Amino acid sequence: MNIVIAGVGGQGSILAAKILGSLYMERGLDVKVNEVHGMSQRGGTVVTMVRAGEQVYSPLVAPGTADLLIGLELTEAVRAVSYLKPDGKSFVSSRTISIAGQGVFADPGLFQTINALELAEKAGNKRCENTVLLGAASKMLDFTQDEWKKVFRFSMKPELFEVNYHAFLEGCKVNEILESTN
Amino acid sequence: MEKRLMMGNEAVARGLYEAGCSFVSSYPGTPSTEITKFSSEYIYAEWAVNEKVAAEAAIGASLAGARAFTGMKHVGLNVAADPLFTASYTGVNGGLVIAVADDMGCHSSQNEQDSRHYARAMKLPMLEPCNSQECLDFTKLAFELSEEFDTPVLLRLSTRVSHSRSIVMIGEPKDAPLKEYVKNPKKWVMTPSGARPAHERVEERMAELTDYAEGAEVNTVEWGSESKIGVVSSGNAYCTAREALGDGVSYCKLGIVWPLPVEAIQEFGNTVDELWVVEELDDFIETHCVKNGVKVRGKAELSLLGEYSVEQLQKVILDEESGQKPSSLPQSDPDTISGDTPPNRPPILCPGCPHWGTFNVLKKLDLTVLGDIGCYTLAAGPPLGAMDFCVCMGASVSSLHGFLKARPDAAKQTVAVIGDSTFHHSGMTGLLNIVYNQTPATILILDNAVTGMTGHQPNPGTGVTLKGEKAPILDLEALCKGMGVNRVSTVDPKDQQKLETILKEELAAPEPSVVIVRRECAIL
Repeated sequence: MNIVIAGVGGQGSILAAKILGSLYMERGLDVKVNEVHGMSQRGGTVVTMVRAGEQVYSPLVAPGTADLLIGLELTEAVRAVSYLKPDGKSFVSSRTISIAGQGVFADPGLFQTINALELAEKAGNKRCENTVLLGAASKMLDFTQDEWKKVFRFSMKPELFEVNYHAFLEGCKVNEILESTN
Repeated sequence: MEKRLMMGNEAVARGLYEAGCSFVSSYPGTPSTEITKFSSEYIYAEWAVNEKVAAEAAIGASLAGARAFTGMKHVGLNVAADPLFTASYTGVNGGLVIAVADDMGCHSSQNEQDSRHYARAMKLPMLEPCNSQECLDFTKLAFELSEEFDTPVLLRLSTRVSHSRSIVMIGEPKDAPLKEYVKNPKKWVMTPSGARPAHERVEERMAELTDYAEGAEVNTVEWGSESKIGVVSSGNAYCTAREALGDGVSYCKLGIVWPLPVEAIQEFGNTVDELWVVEELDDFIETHCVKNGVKVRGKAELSLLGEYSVEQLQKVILDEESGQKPSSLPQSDPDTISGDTPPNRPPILCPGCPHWGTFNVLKKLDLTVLGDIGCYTLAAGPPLGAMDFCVCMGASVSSLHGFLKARPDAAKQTVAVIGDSTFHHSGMTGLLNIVYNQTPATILILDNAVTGMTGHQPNPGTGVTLKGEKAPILDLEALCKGMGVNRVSTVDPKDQQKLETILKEELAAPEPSVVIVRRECAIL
């Protein structure tokens, strides 16, 4: 399983990756998560990767091999689309963050996007876009609600659990909406 | 035994705890920073003002009998090199381990240096883990080797190893009581008469370490299903090679990269038709193999630059071997997905960052800006483009001095810009040099009261230690005046008009000036 999470520094891709990695670890699989820290994180492109399987060597997902792309930001999702394999699935926020000196990149209509910001606000914290998208992506990930809940609990500070899990559940509902429009 | 998904740096910290290490001193530097941060959750750990101070403090703790550690990024090892070259001669009392994290690909660095050369130059053993479990295990092993062979031990990390998470089985901490301190000038006082016999001991130690490396359990061999290709590798390069080349190839994975087990490599090479060395950055292993008559392929076909990719290794090493491509890796087909490519999104100063005000003024005045290492280095890129020079920690101040000695007429339009933490690290000495050798230089100290770029570590200007204890706040104004700078002014970068007025005055002044541009980091 190869997952790519694309976003801009500060959007919470590391927490999302940690949650996904922990789910696979709890299932007994080998896991590698690649994170970005330091300079490039400061408002720049951040691509976080999660790989799980019997045995995983490299923490990096090779282009054209990702089963799943989670886009915390539309422009970055467009940039990261080359990681997806042809039949890979994507769950992408409609949120766009302007690029300094370039402005907002126009949506090329590559994805059926999710208004993750609105759902995060509905859940109680606009910073929970990451967990909203995890909820949306949970459709294609074979984990039970109990498994998600357990990992959410040990992946964050106790006071952040409720709002994040709530955001996750908002994200889960998105699938029904997407399906009904398909 | 408990299973955890740990970042490499976190696992090194856990290894320090389990090894009974009781003293950690480091200066932050991506990608090494989190080791020290996580260590502070278990044991005594501190932020030092620079890597040389940190290394000397760790040497002192080892001398006193404690297991001691310092961790740094590759360029930090340049700063710490002076004491470490001679600590190699003295050896240790309590075990002494130095982690150095290289940054292949320059994700967060000013250069791409290969720290393995230091192991050879310092005559120190160097271990190189490839995942988080090895980070923990090798850290513990490093302390055992340090005490067994009476040597500091280097632990080489990299961006991918330090900043990727993988599964770790954590263990129990070992009790490592303080060793006795015994006065022994022959071992510890490195005058010429002490250093000559010490060098002899170091060469003997290298020979013993080479014997150890030849049979070391951390060097492993995995036999492939075919006997054609063999790969010698270590660290993240091994992970990429293993991923790219699959089960058909045999691997000799080195856990100890200095001294190199040349006989073991030769023996491995004898079992395959072609022997490759897959190492990122320099031809360190390859050169040593060639020197010892081991025939290998490597940098003539593989790059000296950056990180290797799976595709790159498959193309170079496997293309000649048709049919060996692992089917588990589908090749990307760029034609299946279309869409315009968005413009690059380089890192940028945060919204509300006080550095915006400072650099707006520097840009408006069209000054030549000698910059330094920190968040404010981002002012070099778009949209500001307001920096002309950046080399290493502290160089803004010292190089401005040289610049003005060479071009005295530039004093009215040239400044040095340095952050508070970088000034503590190695800007102070440059300023003293300016005062002593008298150039009418204008230095801006951007004081945001924290070490920002590496993730908000407290420093001597913050008022708190890594452990969260209260500490005195450095009085920058008094320090500069004490060094003999007569013109010291302080300004809030939000007040751009005032900053501009002060700068014009100080640039015109015929003596050294320091302008302290002070405002707390916007995301504190």
